Amino acid sequence: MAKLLTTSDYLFYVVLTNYVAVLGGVLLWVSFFFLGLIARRLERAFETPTGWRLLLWAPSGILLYTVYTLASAGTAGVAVPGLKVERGIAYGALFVSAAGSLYACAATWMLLLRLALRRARQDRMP
Amino acid sequence: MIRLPRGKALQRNLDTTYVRFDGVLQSLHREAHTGYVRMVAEEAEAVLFLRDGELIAPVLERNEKLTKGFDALVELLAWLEKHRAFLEICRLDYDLLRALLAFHHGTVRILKTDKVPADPAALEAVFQERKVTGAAIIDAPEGPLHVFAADGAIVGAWWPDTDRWVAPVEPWEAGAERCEIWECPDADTLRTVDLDVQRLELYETLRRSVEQFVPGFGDYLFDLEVRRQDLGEPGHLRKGGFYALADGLRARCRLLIGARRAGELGTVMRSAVGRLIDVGL
Repeated sequence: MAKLLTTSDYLFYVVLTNYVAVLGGVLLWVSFFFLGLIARRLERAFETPTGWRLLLWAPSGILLYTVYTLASAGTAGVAVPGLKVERGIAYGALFVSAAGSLYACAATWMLLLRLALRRARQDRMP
Repeated sequence: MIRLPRGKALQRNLDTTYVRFDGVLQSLHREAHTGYVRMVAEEAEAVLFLRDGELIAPVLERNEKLTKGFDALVELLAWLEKHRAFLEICRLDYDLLRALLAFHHGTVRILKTDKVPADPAALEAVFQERKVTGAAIIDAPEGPLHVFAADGAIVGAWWPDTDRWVAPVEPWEAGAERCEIWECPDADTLRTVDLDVQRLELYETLRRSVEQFVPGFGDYLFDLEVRRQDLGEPGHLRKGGFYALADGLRARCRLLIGARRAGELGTVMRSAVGRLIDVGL
């Protein structure tokens, strides 16, 4: 059977990308977590709901996906592909997280938009 | 010495060691008192004019320096915290109050020697000519004579040397050489101190401070905090209410601009509130 990937290719295209995906997932989760904290401050300061709890919890799916990626990356250079159901759960969680995070970000953005509109209306007033 | 006829004295020699000055003012405010409170001490003298219970014009003389308006009130309250003084409360009718306000806050016109009125009728003609509200100070041979007028009509006269009030005015001896006419056309509405206005100004100062520290969102934050504390009309806020507002705003702004900047904002607001005169009126 022909070898599709050399060792260095395998390291670059499989191992490294897996670890970069894991690192990216963790960083993304941390970013959303911080965004959630900022949204919480905005909610408390402006007394308007921003969905900060959703912003804190929703990115958990990203972590789940990261764990799946980490697990399927395997050990000692051998990839262990996950079951179909595992893949479904991981990608599904990623999708739900993305949708939840988008919704919460939109709520925060709407608050800032409302404030900007209010400000513009005030500036227009004689 | 602040020259002032005694009026109808209601209280004399109230010792500030035993009587709270702001309490006296609050009591007069409740009674819609029209007149003045005179404060006498060894090194200072002050008069606070009140119209319908509202403090309208404080005058302070200290170290031979005359101060009026807000500066006088601030200095007086600070001075009273450390010194003992005696208070005298006098009631005045509106016309005499107007005349006194014009005398203490108006402009002076000195009549030429040949135009100095020789008797009350001549003086009234001078007053009538310009519908003077104010006072004439005549250097009569018996001594200085203060004649007060409202809308050109003589209200009464006062001999400062003997502290004697006369109404109607008696003729003075012939030979008066000098006559000053003090008048103020706005004596009816004259007001050098308006505590409500000061409170409104402070309210706006706090609003501007928040806007300065949190550009773009300051007004909104300010309105939210006012609504949260249910403060109502800013003109009725007491000093404690302003402090609570300042602290609430600092805490709210801290969420957006951080502890250090919010601390600076708090200092600015608290120092502005500290300058508010609060005598409970």
